[in-house]
Amino acid sequence: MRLLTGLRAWTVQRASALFMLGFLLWLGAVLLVSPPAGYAEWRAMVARPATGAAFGLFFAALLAHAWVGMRDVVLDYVHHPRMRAAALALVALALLGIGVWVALALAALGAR
Amino acid sequence: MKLSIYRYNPEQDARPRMQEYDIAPEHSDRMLLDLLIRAKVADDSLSFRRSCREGVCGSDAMNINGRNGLACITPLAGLKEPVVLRPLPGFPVVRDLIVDMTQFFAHYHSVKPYLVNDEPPPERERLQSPQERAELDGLYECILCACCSGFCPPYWWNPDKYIGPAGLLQAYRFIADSRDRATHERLAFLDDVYRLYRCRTIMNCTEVCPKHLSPSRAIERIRAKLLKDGI
Repeated sequence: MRLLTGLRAWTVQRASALFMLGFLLWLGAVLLVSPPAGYAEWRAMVARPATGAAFGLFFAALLAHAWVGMRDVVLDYVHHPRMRAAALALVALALLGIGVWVALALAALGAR
Repeated sequence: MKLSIYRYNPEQDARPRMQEYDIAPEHSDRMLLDLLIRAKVADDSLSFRRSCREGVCGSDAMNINGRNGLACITPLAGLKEPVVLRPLPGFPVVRDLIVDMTQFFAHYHSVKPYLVNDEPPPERERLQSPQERAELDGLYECILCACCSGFCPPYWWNPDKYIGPAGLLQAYRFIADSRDRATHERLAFLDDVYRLYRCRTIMNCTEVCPKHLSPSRAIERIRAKLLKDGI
Protein backbone atom coordinates (compact mmCIF):
# COMPACT_ATOMS: atom_id res chain seq x y z
CA MET A 1 0.00 0.00 0.00
CA ARG A 2 2.94 2.35 0.70
CA LEU A 3 3.97 2.00 -2.93
CA LEU A 4 1.38 4.43 -4.29
CA THR A 5 0.32 6.79 -1.54
CA GLY A 6 0.44 10.50 -0.93
CA LEU A 7 2.77 12.45 -3.17
CA ARG A 8 3.71 9.48 -5.36
CA ALA A 9 0.12 8.62 -6.26
CA TRP A 10 -0.64 12.28 -6.91
CA THR A 11 2.41 12.60 -9.21
CA VAL A 12 1.59 9.35 -11.04
CA GLN A 13 -1.97 10.54 -11.62
CA ARG A 14 -0.86 13.84 -13.10
CA ALA A 15 2.10 12.50 -15.09
CA SER A 16 -0.04 9.70 -16.58
CA ALA A 17 -2.73 12.23 -17.50
CA LEU A 18 -0.17 14.36 -19.33
CA PHE A 19 1.28 11.35 -21.18
CA MET A 20 -2.19 10.13 -22.20
CA LEU A 21 -3.15 13.59 -23.41
CA GLY A 22 0.00 13.78 -25.56
CA PHE A 23 -0.48 10.24 -26.87
CA LEU A 24 -4.14 10.76 -27.76
CA LEU A 25 -3.36 14.04 -29.53
CA TRP A 26 -0.64 12.25 -31.52
CA LEU A 27 -2.93 9.30 -32.31
CA GLY A 28 -5.73 11.66 -33.31
CA ALA A 29 -3.36 13.52 -35.65
CA VAL A 30 -2.17 10.25 -37.21
CA LEU A 31 -5.74 9.04 -37.75
CA LEU A 32 -6.67 12.39 -39.24
CA VAL A 33 -3.64 12.88 -41.52
CA SER A 34 -2.86 9.34 -42.71
CA PRO A 35 -5.31 6.81 -41.34
CA PRO A 36 -4.27 3.15 -41.78
CA ALA A 37 -6.10 1.76 -44.81
CA GLY A 38 -7.02 -1.53 -43.19
CA TYR A 39 -6.32 -4.06 -40.51
CA ALA A 40 -2.95 -5.09 -41.96
CA GLU A 41 -1.67 -1.50 -42.05
CA TRP A 42 -3.02 -0.82 -38.59
CA ARG A 43 -1.25 -3.95 -37.30
CA ALA A 44 1.98 -2.95 -38.99
CA MET A 45 1.81 0.45 -37.32
CA VAL A 46 1.36 -1.03 -33.84
CA ALA A 47 4.03 -3.65 -34.50
CA ARG A 48 6.71 -0.99 -35.06
CA PRO A 49 8.89 -0.92 -31.90
CA ALA A 50 8.45 2.81 -31.13
CA THR A 51 4.70 2.80 -31.75
CA GLY A 52 4.27 -0.48 -29.89
CA ALA A 53 6.15 0.95 -26.89
CA ALA A 54 3.98 4.10 -26.99
CA PHE A 55 0.82 1.95 -27.04
CA GLY A 56 2.16 -0.18 -24.18
CA LEU A 57 3.04 2.92 -22.17
CA PHE A 58 -0.40 4.40 -22.89
CA PHE A 59 -2.15 1.39 -21.41
CA ALA A 60 0.24 1.32 -18.44
CA ALA A 61 -0.51 5.01 -17.82
CA LEU A 62 -4.23 4.36 -18.25
CA LEU A 63 -4.18 1.54 -15.69
CA ALA A 64 -2.09 3.53 -13.16
CA HIS A 65 -4.34 6.56 -13.62
CA ALA A 66 -7.47 4.48 -13.22
CA TRP A 67 -6.10 2.78 -10.10
CA VAL A 68 -5.31 6.05 -8.32
CA GLY A 69 -8.66 7.55 -9.35
CA MET A 70 -10.75 4.52 -8.40
CA ARG A 71 -8.84 4.09 -5.14
CA ASP A 72 -9.61 7.74 -4.29
CA VAL A 73 -13.30 7.16 -4.97
CA VAL A 74 -13.30 4.08 -2.73
CA LEU A 75 -11.40 5.87 0.08
CA ASP A 76 -13.86 8.77 -0.10
CA TYR A 77 -17.11 6.83 -0.19
CA VAL A 78 -16.60 3.29 1.17
CA HIS A 79 -15.85 3.39 4.89
CA HIS A 80 -16.65 -0.07 6.20
CA PRO A 81 -13.24 -1.83 6.40
CA ARG A 82 -14.38 -5.11 4.80
CA MET A 83 -16.45 -3.41 2.11
CA ARG A 84 -13.50 -1.16 1.37
CA ALA A 85 -11.07 -4.08 1.09
CA ALA A 86 -13.53 -5.88 -1.20
CA ALA A 87 -14.05 -2.79 -3.37
CA LEU A 88 -10.30 -2.18 -3.68
CA ALA A 89 -9.71 -5.87 -4.50
CA LEU A 90 -12.43 -5.76 -7.15
CA VAL A 91 -10.90 -2.66 -8.77
CA ALA A 92 -7.41 -4.16 -8.63
CA LEU A 93 -8.64 -7.43 -10.13
CA ALA A 94 -10.50 -5.69 -12.95
CA LEU A 95 -7.52 -3.47 -13.80
CA LEU A 96 -5.16 -6.44 -13.60
CA GLY A 97 -7.44 -8.36 -15.97
CA ILE A 98 -7.44 -5.51 -18.46
CA GLY A 99 -3.65 -5.22 -18.09
CA VAL A 100 -3.07 -8.91 -18.83
CA TRP A 101 -5.46 -8.77 -21.80
CA VAL A 102 -3.70 -5.73 -23.29
CA ALA A 103 -0.25 -7.22 -22.66
CA LEU A 104 -1.25 -10.47 -24.40
CA ALA A 105 -2.76 -8.59 -27.34
CA LEU A 106 0.31 -6.37 -27.78
CA ALA A 107 2.66 -9.36 -27.42
CA ALA A 108 0.68 -11.29 -30.03
CA LEU A 109 0.89 -8.35 -32.44
CA GLY A 110 4.62 -8.00 -31.87
CA ALA A 111 5.24 -11.75 -32.33
CA ARG A 112 3.59 -11.98 -35.75
CA MET B 1 -37.93 39.01 9.95
CA LYS B 2 -38.54 35.29 9.60
CA LEU B 3 -35.94 32.84 10.85
CA SER B 4 -35.98 29.05 10.54
CA ILE B 5 -33.53 27.61 13.03
CA TYR B 6 -32.29 24.05 13.51
CA ARG B 7 -33.19 22.86 16.98
CA TYR B 8 -31.82 19.72 18.57
CA ASN B 9 -31.18 18.78 22.13
CA PRO B 10 -29.78 15.22 22.08
CA GLU B 11 -30.81 14.67 25.71
CA GLN B 12 -34.51 15.38 25.02
CA ASP B 13 -35.25 15.22 21.31
CA ALA B 14 -35.54 12.03 19.31
CA ARG B 15 -34.65 13.93 16.14
CA PRO B 16 -33.71 17.47 15.06
CA ARG B 17 -36.46 19.86 13.93
CA MET B 18 -36.64 23.32 12.34
CA GLN B 19 -38.27 26.01 14.49
CA GLU B 20 -39.75 29.15 12.98
CA TYR B 21 -39.17 32.54 14.58
CA ASP B 22 -40.56 35.92 13.62
CA ILE B 23 -38.33 38.59 15.12
CA ALA B 24 -38.65 42.29 14.44
CA PRO B 25 -35.23 43.88 14.02
CA GLU B 26 -34.58 47.07 15.97
CA HIS B 27 -33.30 50.14 14.19
CA SER B 28 -29.72 49.53 15.34
CA ASP B 29 -29.61 45.87 14.20
CA ARG B 30 -27.23 45.42 11.31
CA MET B 31 -25.98 41.84 11.43
CA LEU B 32 -27.59 38.43 11.67
CA LEU B 33 -26.12 37.93 15.15
CA ASP B 34 -28.11 40.95 16.43
CA LEU B 35 -31.29 39.16 15.37
CA LEU B 36 -30.15 35.83 16.84
CA ILE B 37 -29.58 37.52 20.19
CA ARG B 38 -33.14 38.92 20.00
CA ALA B 39 -34.41 35.41 19.22
CA LYS B 40 -32.57 34.15 22.30
CA VAL B 41 -34.29 36.82 24.42
CA ALA B 42 -37.64 35.60 23.12
CA ASP B 43 -36.76 31.90 23.56
CA ASP B 44 -33.94 31.29 26.01
CA SER B 45 -33.74 27.58 25.15
CA LEU B 46 -32.10 28.51 21.82
CA SER B 47 -28.36 27.83 21.94
CA PHE B 48 -25.53 29.23 19.82
CA ARG B 49 -21.97 30.37 20.38
CA ARG B 50 -20.83 33.96 20.04
CA SER B 51 -18.19 36.07 21.67
CA CYS B 52 -16.50 39.03 20.01
CA ARG B 53 -19.47 39.82 17.68
CA GLU B 54 -17.10 41.39 15.12
CA GLY B 55 -15.65 38.54 13.07
CA VAL B 56 -12.47 38.02 15.04
CA CYS B 57 -13.13 35.11 17.42
CA GLY B 58 -14.82 32.76 14.95
CA SER B 59 -17.34 31.44 17.49
CA ASP B 60 -20.57 32.00 15.60
CA ALA B 61 -19.80 30.05 12.44
CA MET B 62 -22.97 28.44 11.12
CA ASN B 63 -24.73 27.48 7.94
CA ILE B 64 -26.73 30.52 6.79
CA ASN B 65 -29.16 29.91 3.92
CA GLY B 66 -27.01 26.99 2.77
CA ARG B 67 -23.65 28.76 3.04
CA ASN B 68 -21.25 28.69 5.96
CA GLY B 69 -20.48 32.08 7.46
CA LEU B 70 -20.15 34.12 10.63
CA ALA B 71 -23.48 35.43 11.88
CA CYS B 72 -21.80 38.53 13.33
CA ILE B 73 -20.51 39.79 9.97
CA THR B 74 -23.44 38.66 7.82
CA PRO B 75 -25.54 41.79 7.09
CA LEU B 76 -29.29 41.45 7.59
CA ALA B 77 -29.85 43.45 4.44
CA GLY B 78 -29.94 41.11 1.47
CA LEU B 79 -30.68 37.92 3.42
CA LYS B 80 -33.42 35.85 1.80
CA GLU B 81 -36.33 35.05 4.12
CA PRO B 82 -36.91 32.85 5.92
CA VAL B 83 -33.26 32.84 6.95
CA VAL B 84 -32.45 29.16 7.40
CA LEU B 85 -29.83 28.60 10.10
CA ARG B 86 -28.22 25.21 10.63
CA PRO B 87 -25.11 24.07 12.50
CA LEU B 88 -21.86 23.64 10.52
CA PRO B 89 -22.43 20.66 8.18
CA GLY B 90 -20.46 17.52 8.94
CA PHE B 91 -19.80 18.39 12.58
CA PRO B 92 -21.43 16.50 15.47
CA VAL B 93 -24.15 18.66 17.05
CA VAL B 94 -23.87 19.37 20.77
CA ARG B 95 -27.07 21.38 20.84
CA ASP B 96 -28.95 23.57 18.34
CA LEU B 97 -26.31 25.59 16.46
CA ILE B 98 -23.43 24.49 18.71
CA VAL B 99 -21.15 21.83 17.22
CA ASP B 100 -18.43 19.66 18.70
CA MET B 101 -15.07 21.02 17.45
CA THR B 102 -12.88 18.43 19.26
CA GLN B 103 -11.76 16.64 16.11
CA PHE B 104 -11.27 19.90 14.22
CA PHE B 105 -8.86 21.14 16.89
CA ALA B 106 -7.15 17.74 17.13
CA HIS B 107 -6.28 18.12 13.43
CA TYR B 108 -5.09 21.65 14.09
CA HIS B 109 -2.78 20.44 16.87
CA SER B 110 -1.49 17.59 14.71
CA VAL B 111 0.20 20.03 12.30
CA LYS B 112 2.23 21.55 15.17
CA PRO B 113 0.91 25.10 14.82
CA TYR B 114 3.94 26.73 16.40
CA LEU B 115 7.51 27.58 15.38
CA VAL B 116 9.96 24.69 15.68
CA ASN B 117 13.49 26.01 15.90
CA ASP B 118 16.13 24.39 18.12
CA GLU B 119 18.89 26.83 17.23
CA PRO B 120 20.03 28.95 20.18
CA PRO B 121 17.81 32.02 20.29
CA PRO B 122 19.47 35.29 19.28
CA GLU B 123 19.85 38.11 21.75
CA ARG B 124 16.65 39.70 20.52
CA GLU B 125 13.89 38.30 18.27
CA ARG B 126 14.44 36.07 15.24
CA LEU B 127 14.39 38.54 12.38
CA GLN B 128 12.65 38.24 9.02
CA SER B 129 13.07 40.30 5.88
CA PRO B 130 9.93 42.13 4.71
CA GLN B 131 9.69 39.60 1.86
CA GLU B 132 9.87 36.66 4.26
CA ARG B 133 7.22 38.26 6.41
CA ALA B 134 5.03 38.86 3.37
CA GLU B 135 4.97 35.09 2.77
CA LEU B 136 2.73 34.77 5.82
CA ASP B 137 0.09 37.19 4.59
CA GLY B 138 -3.14 35.40 3.82
CA LEU B 139 -2.17 32.61 6.23
CA TYR B 140 -1.79 34.04 9.72
CA GLU B 141 -5.20 35.78 9.60
CA CYS B 142 -7.11 32.49 9.97
CA ILE B 143 -9.42 32.60 13.02
CA LEU B 144 -10.20 28.84 13.04
CA CYS B 145 -13.95 29.35 12.71
CA ALA B 146 -14.23 26.08 10.69
CA CYS B 147 -16.44 27.60 7.99
CA CYS B 148 -14.07 26.07 5.41
CA SER B 149 -13.73 22.58 6.87
CA GLY B 150 -17.50 22.51 7.45
CA PHE B 151 -18.06 23.18 3.74
CA CYS B 152 -15.48 20.68 2.45
CA PRO B 153 -16.89 17.40 1.04
CA PRO B 154 -13.65 15.41 1.60
CA TYR B 155 -13.75 16.59 5.23
CA TRP B 156 -17.35 15.37 5.50
CA TRP B 157 -16.28 11.99 4.06
CA ASN B 158 -13.14 11.45 6.17
CA PRO B 159 -13.27 13.85 9.13
CA ASP B 160 -11.20 11.52 11.29
CA LYS B 161 -8.25 11.25 8.89
CA TYR B 162 -8.25 14.23 6.51
CA ILE B 163 -6.78 17.32 8.20
CA GLY B 164 -9.13 19.61 6.31
CA PRO B 165 -8.61 23.05 4.78
CA ALA B 166 -8.28 24.98 8.06
CA GLY B 167 -5.61 22.66 9.45
CA LEU B 168 -3.74 22.58 6.14
CA LEU B 169 -3.77 26.38 5.86
CA GLN B 170 -2.24 26.48 9.34
CA ALA B 171 0.27 23.79 8.35
CA TYR B 172 1.39 25.89 5.40
CA ARG B 173 1.60 28.98 7.58
CA PHE B 174 4.50 27.28 9.42
CA ILE B 175 5.99 25.62 6.35
CA ALA B 176 6.22 29.08 4.77
CA ASP B 177 7.77 30.67 7.86
CA SER B 178 11.46 31.47 7.31
CA ARG B 179 12.15 31.07 11.04
CA ASP B 180 10.87 27.49 11.19
CA ARG B 181 13.42 24.65 10.95
CA ALA B 182 11.09 21.66 10.74
CA THR B 183 9.89 22.10 7.14
CA HIS B 184 11.06 18.66 6.10
CA GLU B 185 9.36 16.93 9.05
CA ARG B 186 6.19 18.91 8.44
CA LEU B 187 6.13 17.89 4.77
CA ALA B 188 6.89 14.25 5.63
CA PHE B 189 3.95 14.26 8.05
CA LEU B 190 1.61 15.60 5.38
CA ASP B 191 2.78 13.18 2.65
CA ASP B 192 -0.09 10.82 3.34
CA VAL B 193 -3.00 9.58 1.29
CA TYR B 194 -5.43 10.89 3.94
CA ARG B 195 -3.93 13.89 5.74
CA LEU B 196 -3.30 16.04 2.67
CA TYR B 197 -4.24 14.13 -0.45
CA ARG B 198 -7.96 13.76 0.27
CA CYS B 199 -8.26 17.29 -1.11
CA ARG B 200 -10.13 17.06 -4.43
CA THR B 201 -9.60 20.77 -5.24
CA ILE B 202 -13.32 21.53 -4.91
CA MET B 203 -12.32 24.95 -3.51
CA ASN B 204 -15.44 25.36 -1.36
CA CYS B 205 -13.03 26.41 1.40
CA THR B 206 -11.78 29.46 -0.49
CA GLU B 207 -15.29 30.25 -1.70
CA VAL B 208 -16.71 30.36 1.81
CA CYS B 209 -13.90 31.76 4.00
CA PRO B 210 -15.31 34.79 5.89
CA LYS B 211 -11.80 36.25 6.16
CA HIS B 212 -11.26 35.92 2.38
CA LEU B 213 -8.29 33.58 2.75
CA SER B 214 -7.51 30.76 0.34
CA PRO B 215 -6.94 27.38 1.96
CA SER B 216 -6.99 25.76 -1.48
CA ARG B 217 -4.01 27.87 -2.57
CA ALA B 218 -2.19 26.88 0.62
CA ILE B 219 -2.91 23.20 -0.14
CA GLU B 220 -1.64 23.68 -3.70
CA ARG B 221 1.58 25.23 -2.33
CA ILE B 222 2.08 22.34 0.09
CA ARG B 223 1.75 19.90 -2.82
CA ALA B 224 4.23 21.93 -4.87
CA LYS B 225 6.68 22.00 -1.93
CA LEU B 226 6.31 18.24 -1.48
CA LEU B 227 6.97 17.70 -5.18
CA LYS B 228 10.07 19.92 -5.05
CA ASP B 229 11.21 18.24 -1.85
CA GLY B 230 10.76 14.82 -3.48
CA ILE B 231 12.85 15.55 -6.59
